[in-house]
Amino acid sequence: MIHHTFRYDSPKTLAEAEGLLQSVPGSVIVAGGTDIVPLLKYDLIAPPALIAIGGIGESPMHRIEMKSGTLKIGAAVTLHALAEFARSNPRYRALRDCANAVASPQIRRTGTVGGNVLQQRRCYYYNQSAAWRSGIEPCFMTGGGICHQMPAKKSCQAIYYSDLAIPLAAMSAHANVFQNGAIKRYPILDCLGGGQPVRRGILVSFEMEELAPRDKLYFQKYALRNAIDFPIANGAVCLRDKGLQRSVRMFLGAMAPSPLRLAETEAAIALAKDRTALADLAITEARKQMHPIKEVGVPPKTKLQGLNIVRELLQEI
Amino acid sequence: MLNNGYQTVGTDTPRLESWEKVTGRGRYTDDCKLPNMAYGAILHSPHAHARVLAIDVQQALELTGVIAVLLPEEVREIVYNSSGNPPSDLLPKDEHILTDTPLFAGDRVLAVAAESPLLCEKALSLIQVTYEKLPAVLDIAGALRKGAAALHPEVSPTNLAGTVAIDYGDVEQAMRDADILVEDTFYTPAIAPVSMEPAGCICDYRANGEITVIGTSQTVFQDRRLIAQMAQLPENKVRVVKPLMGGGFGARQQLHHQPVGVWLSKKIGRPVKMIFTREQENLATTVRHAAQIKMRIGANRDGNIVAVDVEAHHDTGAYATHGLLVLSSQSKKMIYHAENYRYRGHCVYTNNVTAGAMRGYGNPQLTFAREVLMNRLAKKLSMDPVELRLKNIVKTGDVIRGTETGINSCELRACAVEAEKIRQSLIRQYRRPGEREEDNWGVAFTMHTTGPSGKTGLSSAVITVNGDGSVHLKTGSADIGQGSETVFAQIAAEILGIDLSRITVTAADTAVTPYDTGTFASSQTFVGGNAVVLAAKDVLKKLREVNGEEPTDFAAAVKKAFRANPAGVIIGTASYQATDAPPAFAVCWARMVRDPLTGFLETTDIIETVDCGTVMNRNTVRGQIEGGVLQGLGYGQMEQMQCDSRTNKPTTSDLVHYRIPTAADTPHIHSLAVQSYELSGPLGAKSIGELTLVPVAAAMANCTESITGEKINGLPLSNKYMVRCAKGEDA
Repeated sequence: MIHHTFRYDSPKTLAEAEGLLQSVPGSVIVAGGTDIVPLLKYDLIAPPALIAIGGIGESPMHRIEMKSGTLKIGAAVTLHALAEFARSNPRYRALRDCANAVASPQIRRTGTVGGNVLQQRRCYYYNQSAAWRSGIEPCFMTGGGICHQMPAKKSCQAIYYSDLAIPLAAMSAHANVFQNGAIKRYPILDCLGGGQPVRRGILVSFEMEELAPRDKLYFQKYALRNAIDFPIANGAVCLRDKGLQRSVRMFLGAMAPSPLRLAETEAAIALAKDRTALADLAITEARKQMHPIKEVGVPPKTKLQGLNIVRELLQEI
Repeated sequence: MLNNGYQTVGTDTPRLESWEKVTGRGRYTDDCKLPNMAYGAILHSPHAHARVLAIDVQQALELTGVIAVLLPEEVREIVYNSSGNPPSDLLPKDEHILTDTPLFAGDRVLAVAAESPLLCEKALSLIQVTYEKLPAVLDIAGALRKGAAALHPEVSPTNLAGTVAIDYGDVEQAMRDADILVEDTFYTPAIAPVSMEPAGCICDYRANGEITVIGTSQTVFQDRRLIAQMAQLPENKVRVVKPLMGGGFGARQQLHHQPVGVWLSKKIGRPVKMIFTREQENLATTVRHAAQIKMRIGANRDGNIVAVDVEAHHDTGAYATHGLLVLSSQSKKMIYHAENYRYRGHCVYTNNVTAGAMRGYGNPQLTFAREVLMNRLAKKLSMDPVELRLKNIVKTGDVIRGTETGINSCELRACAVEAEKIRQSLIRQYRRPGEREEDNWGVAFTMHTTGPSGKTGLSSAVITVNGDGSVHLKTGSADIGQGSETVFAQIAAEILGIDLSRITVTAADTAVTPYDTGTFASSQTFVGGNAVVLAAKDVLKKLREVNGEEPTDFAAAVKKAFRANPAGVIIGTASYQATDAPPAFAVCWARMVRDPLTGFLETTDIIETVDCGTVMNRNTVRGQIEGGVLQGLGYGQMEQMQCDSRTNKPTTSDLVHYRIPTAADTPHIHSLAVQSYELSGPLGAKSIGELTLVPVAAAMANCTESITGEKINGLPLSNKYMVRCAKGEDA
């Protein structure tokens, strides 16, 4: 049950949407609603207005385009539509695997690419109803001054669980954000979980270099269930092969407040070390960077086993 | 699955209520509405143990649309046990409708009535309760530690609510004499029943002193008795009605918020509807007992078991509810014959979510411990685990320890044979060169009684015959989604020799249907079904008496009876008291594989073969096996109520945090019912409801021990391994 009332606007243009966003401070953009509505029901957000972008007319935010070596994925494209696109473009099979790894078929037909990347970080002290939270001190995310996960820390340690952000980061995607009547470009890592740039504008699309025939993109997700669950671990690796110029980007998710980039492993991949050595290196590198928190049903031992995801990813290379 | 030559019984008959369910016309509790109805909601304690120092309701009462607040002091005198079992000395009264000393995070502190559910929520948020937090005990050892404060000093000076004991022979001497001994301690978690429909009720306490409760209930007649006792009214003044239900799994075999609804209704003089949220459902109803089971099995070198020793501790949470009866039932599930058997079951209070009845009623915990130990015993004896089990298994004529009646029907050997046939065909399919496919399998045997093991099953049926030969069957037995109404109709159709479409069933309304003990203990087909058999036979007997001849064509005989002189309206009635609780049996194999690269485990196949007597409805039996396997898989693989050590609060409050298997987590399920006939059953039937989930976790644990070589002493497996089900395309 949603306990508070709010205005609901359905603008027809991006400019109108931006105008509404600026005129009602604290208002929130809603697309599929699969992330926002649970937050509303749990009284975790209480915006004065919801601005629904589904009604915005012909716009790049609703399309997937491959043009001039650039792939643009609209923020309002559903996860199902992304999976269908990738089905007909086998080079992007990893995006299909990733989109299909999110939630459930019903949610994927409503939830959007933008919503998945902009989703808030999660923590079991935070993602609970107001009644559940009533017996405990408010945390950083609910107006208090403590992180129940790690009381000694000075900031929220909640984990970022997006699946889609991981391959997009591996592909060096940029976010196109509509701000002050124009599109501005930001690195995707600045926008995760609703970072500053998207708070001041409207996310329109993600843009990245197309995968060339010799490029490779791999994605893996581990969860205790094959549907609904947020990942215990997810990871992606993107290899771009331009003849003499080869590049590798590898990211792991669900391990810390933001995705982990395994830079040492990327360098070692370029040196073509054997897979077992690479995997051991990647696990060591990930363990140094990860900030595990208490998760329901995922004891530390299982979380650490999740790092074996890199073995499968590197096996693919 | 064979149908023993019956016409209606044993077919694939779809559920009678399917149409109304799939077209959305079915009426569940939340679809019902009474004139002038208000809504109610409960403020649950946010603390595991606390004392309420002050309650300020002023702001809430000033909110337009808020009608009243019900406080603990208004219902302080009423103390009860919420279990929907018939009265028993094993049901201590320790629970209040509302409490100012909450004993778990979820305990009921106060309730509001308002004009809408939203207003109820708003009112609750405006009520200020000042608590003094008290020390909480959240595990069995802590609760039993010397000096631990007793949660219910009125029941017990310690947190031990009671002990169930059974003794046969001299266990200690037999253990000393045994050639081989296996022993260990096993841990199973509390798990939530997760009915799709949350608990709901509409309570109407009228000024004339009559109470009606419409709601989710497995035991309408027990609910009526409890509410009548609490309200100090005769039972004829209390009516409990069960609309369509979306599952129960035992949790609806006790009162949850109904007493709150009744007393709110009494206070405001209007009907009150209360529907739990999923969070309330998970944290403020009941769960399966977390258990710690220490077990020893002694055997001779030839594999004959000579002694079994069980010491179980169950965490009953804040209130005893069914706790001691669950232990009593568990004590009677020793499927292997041992001359010397000792059972001690201890029911322990803690500040955890209250435990109660849940599908299996103590059997899943015991079966996990027993079947894992049996595999280890087989290994020590260098015996095949199935051979060891078959050597010791109870047989027709045996009396299971703790029970009194000999077994009429036991086709466990056939279950084992059929399961092995399926397994061998899968082994041929899966075998890869260089791999030992046999290591990927684990087995478990089990049994579950049909009806309450205390033989408290009592049911009745009334069949009213219409002039055109159609009939109306009335039974007190509650169909909670398992399909009992369809099975009863099939039984009546079979006995009367009429088509199923000529039968209408009305069930579980205490004002219009006759008494039934309740839907629990896998008893409906057996206890309720036997009553239907007798009522249908009574119809035929009365037709014979009126017409003076044997009815051959039912419709023609009815027509004749209506026109006879003197004419007769035919009403068949019967009651059936269970004198037996015949066990049904199952054999389960689980197949899991380990990824050589990552070490992750995947569950690929579950085989379950059952002896449930006559298969009454093939769809229903198949559904019970598949549903039971999935619930058992959840128990084995991922499910657990979890409590946060920092806040002492359960974190598994919704279906993101509390994981049950989804459709995408369904392994290949291979099910089969072997041919069997139970003499005491209606048309030869036994039970199927609880049996099917019981052995699954144990089979998975044995499989995991086989694959990893590590001991599995606790569930779920995900606490130790990255484990999941094989993934299909685009799960």
